[in-house]
Parts: sequence; C-alpha cells; structure tokens
Amino acid sequence: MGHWNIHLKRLLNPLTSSTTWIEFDGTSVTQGIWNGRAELEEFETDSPAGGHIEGLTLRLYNPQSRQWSLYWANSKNGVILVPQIGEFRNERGEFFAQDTLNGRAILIRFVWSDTSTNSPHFEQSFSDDGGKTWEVNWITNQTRVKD
Amino acid sequence: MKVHKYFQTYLLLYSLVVFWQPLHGFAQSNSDAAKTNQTLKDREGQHDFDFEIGAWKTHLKRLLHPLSGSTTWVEYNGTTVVRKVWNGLANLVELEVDGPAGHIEGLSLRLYRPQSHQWSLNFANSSDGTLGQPTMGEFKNGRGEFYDQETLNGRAILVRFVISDITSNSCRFEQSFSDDGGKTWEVNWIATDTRMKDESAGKKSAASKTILQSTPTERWAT
Repeated sequence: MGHWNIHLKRLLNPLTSSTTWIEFDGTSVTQGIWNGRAELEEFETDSPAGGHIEGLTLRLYNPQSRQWSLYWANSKNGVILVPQIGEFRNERGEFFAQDTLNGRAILIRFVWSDTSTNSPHFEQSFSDDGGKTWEVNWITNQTRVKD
Repeated sequence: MKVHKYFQTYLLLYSLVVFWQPLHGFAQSNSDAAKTNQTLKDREGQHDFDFEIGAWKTHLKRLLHPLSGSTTWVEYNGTTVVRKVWNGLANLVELEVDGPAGHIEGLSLRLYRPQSHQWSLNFANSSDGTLGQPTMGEFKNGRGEFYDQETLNGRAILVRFVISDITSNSCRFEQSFSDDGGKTWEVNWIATDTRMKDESAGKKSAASKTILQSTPTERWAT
C-alpha cells in the first residue's frame, strides 16, 4: 500500500533462450478497497527503454478459498487478463495462472518476497514444462516513497 | 479497399468539421489522417464516464429471483464512489448498500478499449472476491448499453446493463436478463444515484466501507 518507486528488469524474448534484458524505472501507487480485502495498484513507466506503460493490478481476496486473485490490465487495450491465483505463506506470495505464449500453453508464476520490508521484490516466471522448470522474465524492485 | 478506407476517413473528417491541415501530398495526408483518426478515436468514448466521478447516494431495487416469474423486489440504500484510474481511461466504482435483505459490497473496474471504442465493465462482489465475465458496450446519445452472456441456474442467458437519465446530479442503472436471445428482457436491478453535496463525506464513508454499481444478481447475493 502507498507510493513506490520501482525499478524493472524485463527479459525481452521469454522462453527463447535469449538473455537480452532491458531495465527501466517507474512509479506505483496502491490503494485499499473493502477494508483491505481488495486493492488497486496503478503502475506507470515512461522511460526510453520501457516506453510508456500504464498498467493496473486489481487484487481480490476470496474468503472461501483464502486465496488472492491478481488481475492485470494495460491501458493500451483495456483488457483484463486471466488472473494469477495464490496466497502468501511465510511472507512469500506465489500466484499461478495458465496462459498462452506464441500459441503454446504455458504456466505463469508470480512471486512476491521481502514483503514485510520497505523494499519488496517481485518476479514473474514462465514454465513450458508444467512447472518443473521456470525462467524468470520480469523482476521488480521497489522502494517506498516517503510522503 | 484501401482507397475506400481513405475516402471514408475524409468523409468522416469533413462531416465532423474536424481540424484539418492542407494536403501535402498523399503520403503526408495519409499520415495526418491516421493522426486525426487517432484523435477522433480518443474522443469517442474515453471520457464517457467522467460524469460519474465522485460520491453518490444510491437507492437500489433488486428482483430477488430473476427469470422465475417472481415479482419480489428488495430495496437497499447506500453509497457509490467512483474514482478515475489512468487519468480517466479506466475507473473504479465502489458500491456499498444495506437493506432488509442484507448487505452488498461490490466494485466495478471499467476499462476503455481504444481499438474498439468500447468499455468493459468488470464486476466483483466482496463475498467471493472474483471478477466475473465483463459486460461490453458503449455510450450513444447519452445512454450506455453493455452486454454479455452468462449462466443463470445452468442456462446461458444474455445480460444487459443500461446507464441512462444522466444529469449532473443523478443517473440511473438497470440490469436486465434475457432468456430468449434478446427478444425480451426482464429488469432485475434498478439503481438511482444522486450526487452527494459534500463529497468528502462520501469519500470518508467509502474508505471505511465500500461498494459498487451493479452486476449480475447472482454475484450480488450475500
């Protein structure tokens, strides 16, 4: 929750054995909804390498399954993607979804760690073998902006 | 085909009396047309929900058992708070109402699709924390209509959500279901919003609780 400066590293061509990463900076603002049972993160970057990206994540808590659903959308097309679903255990959150990359079904994993600190860490990985191996392709480090 | 497209663009530009530059040859005008077209697109729809930003008092009537022949309605009162996301390209609606039939706490995330000039209305209820199938549509002549296909008691039905009677201080929301492919519609959700004079009061109450606008009845059941 709150205002953050974020630093991103993105693997340009995931699952192609390429190791070309780009790095860029942005900002992120997260607000609570329903007394913390949902939240909305707005994300913006405007750097030469990353281009202009406006994104959001709507996170909803399901009290029955005690799981969170993370819905990502980009202002370029205004489409909400399949949610990543998962939960936190021991201050590490893992969220999974199945999606399609270049026509192939793959698994996507989000991992949040160091979440009790002022510099949480986020990683997105893809798996082309049902979760046996994962390739990281998106890393975000963020620092809280003091109001 | 291409020529036809250019011609359509010109017609559109002239008919709307839109800012236009002198022609600088075909390629140039083509790129200008693309640019102007983009401006037109940006204008077509992305500000359609600006009227609703702020805090509203909400009165809601809900048909308890849609498409069952029942005519039992229940009423709720509460608040709706709408805030801009991405500077208006999206918005978040929080609805919270209470009535004899219970408590409804919901949200709607509405996203603009610049390519189709349409909005998607994505609803969630705090009781299950899951976004449903979005209704999709647009505003025409001050009236917004949004549709999707959903399932009610195992049957595929059509859902229509209409936003109408928009003034600076009030608006109306209706949800209807159709079991015959859109030939007939049964209204099952009617919400009327009245703008709060003191918006800070609305924001405060919304921050401590929450809400949304309207959504398929099943999702709202608490």
